[in-house]
Amino acid sequence: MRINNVEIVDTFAEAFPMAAARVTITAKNEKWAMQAAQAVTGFATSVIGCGIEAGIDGVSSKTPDGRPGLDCLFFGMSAGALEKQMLKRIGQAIMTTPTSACFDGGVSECPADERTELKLGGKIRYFGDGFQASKVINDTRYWRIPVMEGEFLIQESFTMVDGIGGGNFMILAESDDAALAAAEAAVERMKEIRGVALPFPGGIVRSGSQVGSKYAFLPASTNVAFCPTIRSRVPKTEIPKGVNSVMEIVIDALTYEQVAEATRVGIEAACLPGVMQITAGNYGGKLGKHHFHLQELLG
Amino acid sequence: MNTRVHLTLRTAPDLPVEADSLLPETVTGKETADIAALPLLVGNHTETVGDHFQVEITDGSPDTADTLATLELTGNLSRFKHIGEAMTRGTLTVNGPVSFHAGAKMSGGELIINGDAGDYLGAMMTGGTIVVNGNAGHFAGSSYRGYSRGMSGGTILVHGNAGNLTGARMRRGLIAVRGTCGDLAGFSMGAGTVLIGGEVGVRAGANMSRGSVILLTPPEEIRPTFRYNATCVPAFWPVMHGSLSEAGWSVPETGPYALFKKYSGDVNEGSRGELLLYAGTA
Repeated sequence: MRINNVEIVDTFAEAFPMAAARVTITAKNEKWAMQAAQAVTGFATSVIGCGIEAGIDGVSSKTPDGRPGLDCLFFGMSAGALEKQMLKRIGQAIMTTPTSACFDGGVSECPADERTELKLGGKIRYFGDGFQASKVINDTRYWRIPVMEGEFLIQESFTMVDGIGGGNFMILAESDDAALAAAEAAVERMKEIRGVALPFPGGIVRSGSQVGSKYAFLPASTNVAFCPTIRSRVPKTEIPKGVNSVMEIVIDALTYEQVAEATRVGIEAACLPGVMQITAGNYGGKLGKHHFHLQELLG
Repeated sequence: MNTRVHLTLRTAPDLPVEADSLLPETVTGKETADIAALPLLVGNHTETVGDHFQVEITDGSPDTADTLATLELTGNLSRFKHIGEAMTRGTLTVNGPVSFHAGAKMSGGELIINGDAGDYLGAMMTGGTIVVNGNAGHFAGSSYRGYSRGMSGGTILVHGNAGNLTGARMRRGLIAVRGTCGDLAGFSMGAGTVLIGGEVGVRAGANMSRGSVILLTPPEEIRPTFRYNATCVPAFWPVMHGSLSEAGWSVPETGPYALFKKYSGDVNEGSRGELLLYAGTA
């Protein structure tokens, strides 16, 4: 299959179930909501090194306190891992941001019977050192934690669902400029889809990884099959002749459909001049239960 | 199909009536004659619903077991006590005044009173919503005498005034009174919120151990057992304001980003409760 003369490889992206949650951050104005959102989703590119993956989902259409707000998505390998990381991040990045408040963003796109609760506010409240107080409004409990600036408000429970992590595709191009331009175009389109997080910087990763390493202490190492600069030294290189740069877009989302749609629109947008091939990473289908066949998505 | 059962009072009774049997679940699935045969305790003897009300069923066939009827009572029910008491679900609308204990001990559903309510409105309720488009008497949402816990859940929205001891000993939930309120609002409350729009009587929040008494019309003086902390926008207020606005309980003079003077008290009970006095727009 070819789109705009770009070869779409007949392969699939292999993705995994991940525990996922959406958080709505509000603040006095857009500036401080964004500050909190960027801080809480920062250094959350990969569970390999960060323990969590996160991204800004978009502007909240309606926030519980009526203030400007942003939705953020969080993905962890298990409910426990997700909770542990979110507690740290909300406590250190949202609660510390002036005027912020933190609410469950809801996961209306997921079936009700698949939803469980994470008691995040119910644990962060202890920061109040005994002076915290709760307020129940419309059957929802909020915690009021006294802070130097005033009060930090956080919802007691957040909704958790089984999301999907590790959706991906790779852009193989003649140059790094061409790869970056294509990746940027893809991210621009993909950001429009709600429920999707692109956890790497700017949505793009230039250092995709393979499982394991020749070094026993490393769980992951550089994806040698897709590194152009060692093409001749790697027995099973995936770099076609003429490709000098590869960039990957990793996709986490709340539902299968969201990953599929993001992959589709991203690849379509990435088929720009200078791009030679678009492919995806997988493990032969043995590890992840979610498979996204590129040609089927684009067919 | 959800049916509507209308009970229209023929003549106001001379004696008090115990009307706790008039609930959506007790009329659901019944024909007109069956509803008319339901017992009512009038004075010290038993009469029937049909003796006092004209019964009418509209909107189709009788309900299934899963669909509650909407019950609507119309007339001067100021001698009818316990209307909506122990209600668990469904909607009960009263077009007219009601007597004591309306919605007491209810745990769910919605009770709408288009008129005045007597004392002990929603006393010791645990859930559900009561809307009074009129005034409420004393002890709204409070405990009964001899009990230590008042309402422990749910919402009471009073669009008119309320009497003394509103929210006394309450443990959870919200009581919002748009108009004035009598003495001792939130007396000895242990949690929850009492919100008063108009002028309030003496000793608001006396002996409260937790919870919030919010006064949109600040009194000239407050009890000396409350201590001033700061003037701020309580973080929960925009959420509560939005919730009240959606419920049709308007608080126009404040807006969602209102400033409040926050006092902690009652110092005799550990100072964990709060008085919030409206102090202008942020």
